[in-house]
Amino acid sequence: MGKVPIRLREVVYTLSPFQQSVMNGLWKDLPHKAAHHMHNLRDAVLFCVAPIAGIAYYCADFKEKEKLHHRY
Amino acid sequence: MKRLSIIKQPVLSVLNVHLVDYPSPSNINYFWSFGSIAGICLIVQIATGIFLAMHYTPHVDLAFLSVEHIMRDVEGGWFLRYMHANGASMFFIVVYIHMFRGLYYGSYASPRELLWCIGVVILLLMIITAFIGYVLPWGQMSFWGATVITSLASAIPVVGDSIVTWLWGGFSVDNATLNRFFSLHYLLPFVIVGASVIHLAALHQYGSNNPLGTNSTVDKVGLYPYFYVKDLVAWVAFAIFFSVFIYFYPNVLGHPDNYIPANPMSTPAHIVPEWYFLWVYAILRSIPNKLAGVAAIALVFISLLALPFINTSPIRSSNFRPFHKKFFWLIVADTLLLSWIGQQPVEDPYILVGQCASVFFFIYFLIMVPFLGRFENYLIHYKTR
Repeated sequence: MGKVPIRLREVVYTLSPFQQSVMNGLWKDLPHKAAHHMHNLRDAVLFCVAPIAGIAYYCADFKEKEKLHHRY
Repeated sequence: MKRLSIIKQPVLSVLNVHLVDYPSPSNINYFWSFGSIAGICLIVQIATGIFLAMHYTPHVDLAFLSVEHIMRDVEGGWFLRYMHANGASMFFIVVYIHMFRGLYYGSYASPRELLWCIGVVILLLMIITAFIGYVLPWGQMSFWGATVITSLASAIPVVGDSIVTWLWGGFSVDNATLNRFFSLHYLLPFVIVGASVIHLAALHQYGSNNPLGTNSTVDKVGLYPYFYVKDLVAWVAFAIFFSVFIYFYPNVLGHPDNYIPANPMSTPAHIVPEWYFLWVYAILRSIPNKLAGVAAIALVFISLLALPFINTSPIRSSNFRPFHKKFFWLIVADTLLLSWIGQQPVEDPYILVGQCASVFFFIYFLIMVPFLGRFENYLIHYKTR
């Protein structure tokens, strides 16, 4: 008695992040955000992926040359 | 007398303070979820381990067969065993990411030295637990891995041979060794639980670091519900990743030789440890002298323990440390390279690459960490002068 019943739909709308407009900035300036992330990844590619790929290539090349050296 | 609220009861209030109301920086990203995932891994390992121990027999004549019995006869035994075996790999993946996150964002730096050091102790306990756990199935790689690694103690001058005999409980890796390894493998996870509680206590003394590395005392939100919900996303993603290994590639992270029963009369062509030890194994093999190799492994853990004390940078996050950021990625590459070299045969060019990678590992931790802090600090002062 005395309590006002709350309709479920209203609760769902109230809790929804879209209704609360908390993600307004999500799509704003997307190209710049993507470019920023790519720029941040540049170090990882240059200093992590490139050394591993380079050394793996060097080892494979070394083994191939060694094999050919023994063959001929 | 008025009864206290249930969350104000002595034990529950501690849980409430540390697991519910704990103030967390609002800007922590998904890399901060790996701590709780590591906790889940530990619980999974203990739970599956307890059930596996109900069916396992720690005897050299029965150990291998009892594992096969678990796989074939025990209801859901294959699932328990694959979960436990792959769970160890998952635990190490998660802990390595957790450590590299700490390294990148400077979570080890003052005032969280104790937190980092306890983390290194947990890593060491994990390595010992995983190593002795790998011996228990009593396959070829179990036996020969145990023989090679325990024999390293013989490099210690004067008392080395006595230590090896003491570790083995005899004059070779045999039943006594298997029994004590089983006993210790059951005990050590509970020691890890204790160390993890201390790790959490040390974390909560100063609070979590954050991606900016600043001392955030105002911009904090409760762990519940905000980070429980966020961590839940990470837990589900992790569960999917874990499940792929259990259900589709259960043996991809193991060694096929461990499906051959241990045979002391037949040495495998290549003795390799589990993948998560390969980086340490590569450092060990890069040094031709046995004692120097063992000393190098000790130096790895000493370097990790010393990290917060030799760090000279007042800035924590590598986002604001351009030079350290590059060296961070180099040490990631170096660790991956060492892991790759650890599984290659001991021949050219792998020997040279392994030696260079080992040298770089120590250069980073013992020279670059203190030097880069000072250098970047100098650049800041030079720029603002």
